Amino acid sequence: MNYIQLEKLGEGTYATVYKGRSRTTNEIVALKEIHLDAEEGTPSTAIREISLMKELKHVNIVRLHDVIHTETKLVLIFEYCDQDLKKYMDQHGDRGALDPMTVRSFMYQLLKGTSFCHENRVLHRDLKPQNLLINRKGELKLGDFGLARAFGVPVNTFSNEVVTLWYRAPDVLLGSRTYNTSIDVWSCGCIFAEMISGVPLFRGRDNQDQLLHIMRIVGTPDDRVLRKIATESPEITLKQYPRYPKISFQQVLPKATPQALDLLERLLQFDPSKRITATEALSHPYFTSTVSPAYGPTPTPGSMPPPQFNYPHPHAHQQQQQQQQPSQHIPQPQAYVHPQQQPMYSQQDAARLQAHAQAQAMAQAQAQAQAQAQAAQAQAHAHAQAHIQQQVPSAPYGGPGYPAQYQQAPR
Amino acid sequence: MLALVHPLHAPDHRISVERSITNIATLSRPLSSSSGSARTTRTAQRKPQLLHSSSSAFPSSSSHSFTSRSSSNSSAVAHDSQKPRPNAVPPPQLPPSTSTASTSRPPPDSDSLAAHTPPSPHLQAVSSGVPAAFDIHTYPSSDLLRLLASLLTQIASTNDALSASDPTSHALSGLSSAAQLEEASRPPIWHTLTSASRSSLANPASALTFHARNIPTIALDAYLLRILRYCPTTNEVFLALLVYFDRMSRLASDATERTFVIDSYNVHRLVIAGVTVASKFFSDVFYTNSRYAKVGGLPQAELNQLELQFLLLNDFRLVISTEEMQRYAEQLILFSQSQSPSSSTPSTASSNTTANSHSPVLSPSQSHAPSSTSSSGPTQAMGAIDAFGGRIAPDRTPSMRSAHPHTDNARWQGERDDDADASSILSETETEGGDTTDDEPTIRPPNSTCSSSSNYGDAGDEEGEGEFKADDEPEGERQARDRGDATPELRARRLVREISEEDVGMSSP
Repeated sequence: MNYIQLEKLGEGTYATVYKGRSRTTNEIVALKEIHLDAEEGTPSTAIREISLMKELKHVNIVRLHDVIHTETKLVLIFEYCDQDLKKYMDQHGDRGALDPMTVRSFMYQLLKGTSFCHENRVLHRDLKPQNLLINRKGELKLGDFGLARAFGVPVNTFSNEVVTLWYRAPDVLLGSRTYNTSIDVWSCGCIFAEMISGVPLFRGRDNQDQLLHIMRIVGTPDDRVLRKIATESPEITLKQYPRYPKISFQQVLPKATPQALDLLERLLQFDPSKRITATEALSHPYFTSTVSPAYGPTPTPGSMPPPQFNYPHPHAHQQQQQQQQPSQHIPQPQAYVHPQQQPMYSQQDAARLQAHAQAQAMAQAQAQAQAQAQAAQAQAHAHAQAHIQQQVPSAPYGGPGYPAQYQQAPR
Repeated sequence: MLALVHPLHAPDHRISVERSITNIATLSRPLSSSSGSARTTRTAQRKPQLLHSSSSAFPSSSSHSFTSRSSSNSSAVAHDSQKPRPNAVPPPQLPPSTSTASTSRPPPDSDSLAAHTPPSPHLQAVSSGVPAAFDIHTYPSSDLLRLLASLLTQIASTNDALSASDPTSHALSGLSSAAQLEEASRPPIWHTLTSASRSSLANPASALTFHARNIPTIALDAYLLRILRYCPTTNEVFLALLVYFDRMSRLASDATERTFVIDSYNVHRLVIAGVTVASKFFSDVFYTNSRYAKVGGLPQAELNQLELQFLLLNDFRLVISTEEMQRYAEQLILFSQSQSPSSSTPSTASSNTTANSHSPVLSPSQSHAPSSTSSSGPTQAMGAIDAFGGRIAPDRTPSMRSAHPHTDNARWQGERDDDADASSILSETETEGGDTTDDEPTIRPPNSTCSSSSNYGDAGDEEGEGEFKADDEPEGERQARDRGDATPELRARRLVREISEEDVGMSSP
């Protein structure tokens, strides 16, 4: 094999994952060894993961580089990511809660990758922090497509045993087998809330308990809505549910901004037909507004990402800005002395960065241009990495001191 | 898509000098390397016919050669997978004049094999027979399977005939060993493949994985219905077989010098491997490989091997768009209508299904005999066409007899129809809903032949321990309860029907 197997990264039911290094390029990769079981043959998870990920080439989806067949096993060569979102939140968050800029960046990337899946008629069906991988550039990538399936061909046999319980949509909990992309959107909403607060939003013990957890926050839908859902998914059998009033998400997530709460509201609609799509969510004001209302009084130069940025992580943007335009920011701190009265960065900067973000978006939309864009980005990311290593410990955002109004959240 | 028979020489026209040289240089290799059996090697490597997607295999650039060599042409059920209307045959691909000349069949028959007929009026008529919105999902599965069996059987028998009638072609076609090709000389598609698929495609023996030593005794329609009975799934899974066979053929010819030929020796194994793969990919309800193996009459280890090779020879390209699926479905219906022009009902069409089915008494040589006679024309393509024309009619009588609607699925052993029926019904009633297992495949000893009337003996101890995945379903739930992060396994519950212990006569390779 053309890869040197390094340390073990993890072990699952049907695969063992190792870190690996290419003998030819020295590139670090993840090697996922599939156990070919005598009883099961090639695991269906591997069949789906390979066949779907082969076709899903997007910066926010873990790239499957190759598949190697040795005598006894299949080895999937994936691009390497340092950690998953769960670990990232544990390490970088404030008791798990990420700073608003990071949340926004990750949320954008999550929706971007999810939207790409849906456009390509793939349901991920297992979105959760453990399956979202973060690399050193601050890029978030959807991984583990073992439960995914294509939904273009209407094979009736959808299982409702999908999606890890805490991220499972209420319609699936009710027994729907005709769900669609909206179940991934629900998971995105759960992850969004979890990044903001640091803890999973709905932590049920079982299917029924999970449903009640959801109803206690989003409220029990009235009978009309429940009947409508049941009509659209005839396999659902409705029961009697306690009548819970809706609780404002603001009470649940006092730290979140109004725009974040509005997006969350749209993601976590009980009725699947009312849920926003991943693509629509990408143009929600939470991402597109130029100045975040949560913008704090002690900003870090460049910590404010440009509007409509896609990725990378805010750290990367900060560094990029510093690297590329040092002269315009001399002395940097002074440009931000009165952030409340001034735009976060000069119009010039904003325009430049916006153009950059758009260029990135276009690059993603056009697969052919992707390689070029990545090359360009790689340069920026290299800076970003250096920056993260050097400056993250002292970076004021993300820590407890970052924007006071976030911490206090008087709303 | 779905060219019934690959145009014999069209690829040759596209072969560059460089590749031809490579061909010659490596001429002897496959024969020597695949030491298994000369017959096997020969069959699998001859070039002529496959399921083919004409859209990619016959680009307009090559369609000229296609047309000019139309005498060597074969039939296509579907023509252009890119076109919304599948029956809209691109004119360049149609060799109207020669088609008539080369086809001994009356128009309706050749029509099913669309490539031979002039496109406009006739095809229009046929196409109008297809319901505008043919609903794959609600179409009766058993009817669909009979159509599928009919089509595949024709393809296989035609290819049988070609291989029997033109021994020289084996020496000349597809003999370059991909393994010996320089990377640089590989076609561009080669570099897009996974390493696993490359090494599989580069090894001529890979395709031979599917090749049985003897032609299985069970007719293809009975085989498919057996699969439907014991591993019920949706029509899409079965239709996917056509798409995958097509892709395998195309990939083999695009990426290597070899072609992948569906014949009577490998079609059963391709079917069971394809159903296994497609079920696991498309459906959340599927069965263990041990069950598929048992239903398919194969040792489990062999099915596992077939499954993997099937994946590799498709380069894991399993996604099928709704549109593509619909096109294949409609082409299949078109095919059936052309088969029985007087009546377009599936049941009528299904009477042809077993036209070429290999009844237990039909030895390989016998199966080849008629076709070699009929294929004595100047070109192989003639042979192919004649094989269709000449063979189907004579065979139809016995097939119709054995394909009696009620007992169809029990008819793989002619003289034991009653037993088969009884036993399957019995087992069904006994075990419906039970958690039974089929760990023991219905296996023939490795070298057993088609004369399989024996071997019922081991049937008794196969009463199952439930191997169906659904049984231990709560696992995912339990894990999820423990930690919010556990991924539930896909599990499904379904009534598991005890597999009847028929000997399906799948001789081992």
